[in-house]
Amino acid sequence: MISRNTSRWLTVGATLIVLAGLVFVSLSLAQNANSNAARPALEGDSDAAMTQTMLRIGDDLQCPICEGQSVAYSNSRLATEMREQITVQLQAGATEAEIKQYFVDRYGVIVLREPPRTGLNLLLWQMPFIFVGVGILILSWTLMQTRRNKEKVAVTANESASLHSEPSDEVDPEIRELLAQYDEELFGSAPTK
Amino acid sequence: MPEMAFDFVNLGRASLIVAPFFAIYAIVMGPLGDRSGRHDWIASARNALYVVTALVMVATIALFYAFITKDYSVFYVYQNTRESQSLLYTWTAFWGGNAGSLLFWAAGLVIVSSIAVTTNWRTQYPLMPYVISVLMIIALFFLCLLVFVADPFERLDFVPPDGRGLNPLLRDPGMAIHPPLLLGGYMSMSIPYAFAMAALISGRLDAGWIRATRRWTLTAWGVLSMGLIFGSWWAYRVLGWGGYWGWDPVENVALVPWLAASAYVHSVIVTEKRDMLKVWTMVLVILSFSLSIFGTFIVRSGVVTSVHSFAQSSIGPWFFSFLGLILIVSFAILMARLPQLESRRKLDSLVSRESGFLFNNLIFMGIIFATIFGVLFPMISELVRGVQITVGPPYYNRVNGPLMLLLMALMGIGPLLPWRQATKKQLLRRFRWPMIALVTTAAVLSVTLRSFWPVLSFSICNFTLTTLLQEYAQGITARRKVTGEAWPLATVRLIGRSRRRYGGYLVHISIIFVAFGVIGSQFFNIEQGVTLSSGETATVGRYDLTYAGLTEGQTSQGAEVKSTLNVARNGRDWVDLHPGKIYMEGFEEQPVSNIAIRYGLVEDLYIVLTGWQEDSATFYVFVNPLVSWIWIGGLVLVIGGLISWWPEPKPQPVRSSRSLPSGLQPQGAGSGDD
Repeated sequence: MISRNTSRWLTVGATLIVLAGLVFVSLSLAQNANSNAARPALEGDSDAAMTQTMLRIGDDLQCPICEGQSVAYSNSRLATEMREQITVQLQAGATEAEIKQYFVDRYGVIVLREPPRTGLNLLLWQMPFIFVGVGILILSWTLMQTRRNKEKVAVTANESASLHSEPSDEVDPEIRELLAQYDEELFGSAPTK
Repeated sequence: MPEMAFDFVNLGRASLIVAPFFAIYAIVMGPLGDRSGRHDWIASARNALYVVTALVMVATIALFYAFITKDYSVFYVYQNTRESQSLLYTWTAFWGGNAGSLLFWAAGLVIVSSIAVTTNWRTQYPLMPYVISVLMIIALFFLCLLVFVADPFERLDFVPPDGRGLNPLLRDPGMAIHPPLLLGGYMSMSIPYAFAMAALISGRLDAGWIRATRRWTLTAWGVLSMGLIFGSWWAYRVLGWGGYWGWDPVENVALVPWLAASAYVHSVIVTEKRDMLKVWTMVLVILSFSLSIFGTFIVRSGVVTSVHSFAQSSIGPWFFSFLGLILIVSFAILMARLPQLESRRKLDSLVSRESGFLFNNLIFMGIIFATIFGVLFPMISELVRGVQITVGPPYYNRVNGPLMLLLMALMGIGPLLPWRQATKKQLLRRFRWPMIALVTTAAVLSVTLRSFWPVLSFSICNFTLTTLLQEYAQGITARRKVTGEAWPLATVRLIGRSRRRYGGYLVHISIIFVAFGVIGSQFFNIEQGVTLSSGETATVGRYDLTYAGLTEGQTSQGAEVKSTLNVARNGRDWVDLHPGKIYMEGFEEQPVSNIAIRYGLVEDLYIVLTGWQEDSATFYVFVNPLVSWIWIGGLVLVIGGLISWWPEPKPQPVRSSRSLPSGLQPQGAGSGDD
């Protein structure tokens, strides 16, 4: 089958090109990942490492007056002061947890961009997955159910042939299907057989 | 002394006061005319709708006029513009505050209403009385807000010499485009909603209303998509944290109507093609519209604050009541019509195109749920425990990230599933190459990247992309086989002949591009803060940045500080970049960053100047991989959207090639048993 092969090679060729692109890009991405991983170890460059840690902590904190922005990247004066505070505490040898606790004590839990996973907050993390999980179960169950009913009735060959959009006979499904699709799209209806 | 005689501003205000009466007239007369068989009453209701449109347009022009003539006696003008603000941002200033953006909503709504009613007047005449009525109820709500709560024409009793001006963050091309697009998308959702309601009320539940509004839904969806993309672009260019999407409440409420509309665009295909899921499609129309109102409500009411909600006011309760009313009334009507909406057909199997669409809708619902839940959860926490919390990006990334990945996978699985039911053979044949692509990509990238989520994400992207490419390849080859056309012609004609399908696939490809950008920047970005004294060099990723000093200057908008960095890439001199800050007049306390961005296909270099001392300066340097693919994706999305939006050509008269397919059948049968 010429047509079948052609369409296959078109697909494979295009996918290979994409894959090559991805590999090329991934090399560059891997380099970024390496340089990210290497940075905290920069002992000699303690200033840069400290700024780095400061930014990371700051990005976990919500700027209290300019909501929607983190402490790390807000232009507001308060955020600037908070960044300085983080640096000061880091220089004094405080740990990340201690610094975050310091701000929680002053501003409340609201200052954390990721709410602690305790008590009521657990609901926040669990509900979406419960929602989707239950949805999938119900949907699958309903569909299995209809199929079981269907099997009892038994699908006759006639019935599947009456499908107008995509005939599924096993002669040469691919070509039949493509032509039918094409025909439908070209003429607005399936070919009459 | 107040100005005498003809005053444009007063005319605008008068129009807004008169308009609600015409709206009420239309709301009543349409259905009344239908019930009593008085066609002249229905026509009269339509004319009232036109009058409302004209009046709101007069008000809109009046406000524009006030802006252009810089009439600072109008409080809204005083608030949103100033002498030093360029005329370009008059447009931005128009909806920069509450009153103006509500007027913008109302104006857009009446315009699209007029167009939709005029174009469907004959073909959908039985629906018209109720379409007019529903649209005018929505318009009435906004008009009431404009008259009673947020009057754009409110006058000061003196004339200030200069205005206060627009928030500097808003003075950016990205900001001039994206909010009107979002508002435009929101208000366009009114049209499908009005038609759906009209179909429910009048009991004409055939697919007529769906066909009449398909293009409107697609318009609303496309405009919302562009609004979101431009919004991200604005955030990327202006906010200076190296990102484009912060899962901030306003972004979230802008996203959810888009998600609902996306779900609707998909479910409607099943409704149209298989006459199924009618109730569900109705639910999605109602949901999309309600979420649009919810979006406007959250942005405009100040219930939640964020970087984007520049306007806060007391309109919260109004919106809340209106939203409640929409939901209760819509669902009540839907319930009443439930028996008539029952599908004649039932789903056949778990593995079929239909169920693919159903799972797609489920995931969309999951993302909508997670997002709204995240936005509202701080309020729940405060009510239940009295503890104020922040739900920030980590929640959304961790919850919505996997769900979106699932959706991406479904995007690749869906087109491979046949309608109704599939045989094992069919599935094997169709899934072969996409699965091979999935496995190969995973294998190859595991070597280079060595981390789970990015490899999985990229592999799923490539799986889906292969599915789509296969769809195109098969279509083109089949077409060539039948018509003998050359490759390019076959491609163009294939897309041209079934625009919805192949335009839709193009939109899917654009989503993959966006996903590439998101995955790349989410997992592989570098962010680093560096302080450099003159002549000092810092290394970030493959870039060496040498600080070469700072200059101060004056622009038309205010004082400007500009730094110079000599950038070398891979050790070789590359470019000079000039991150800086602007202190706009009247907003000196709130300087805006002039971010230096070098866009690239592989990665962007993004530098923000954050502070400086005498001989040194501090920069935030970001290396953001693949971000450009988000904007490219946006462009492709628009193209794909336009293709599927464009009206299909009329079915052509049967030509001689009509006999070809059956002529090929023997050949097909001969090699069928492989």
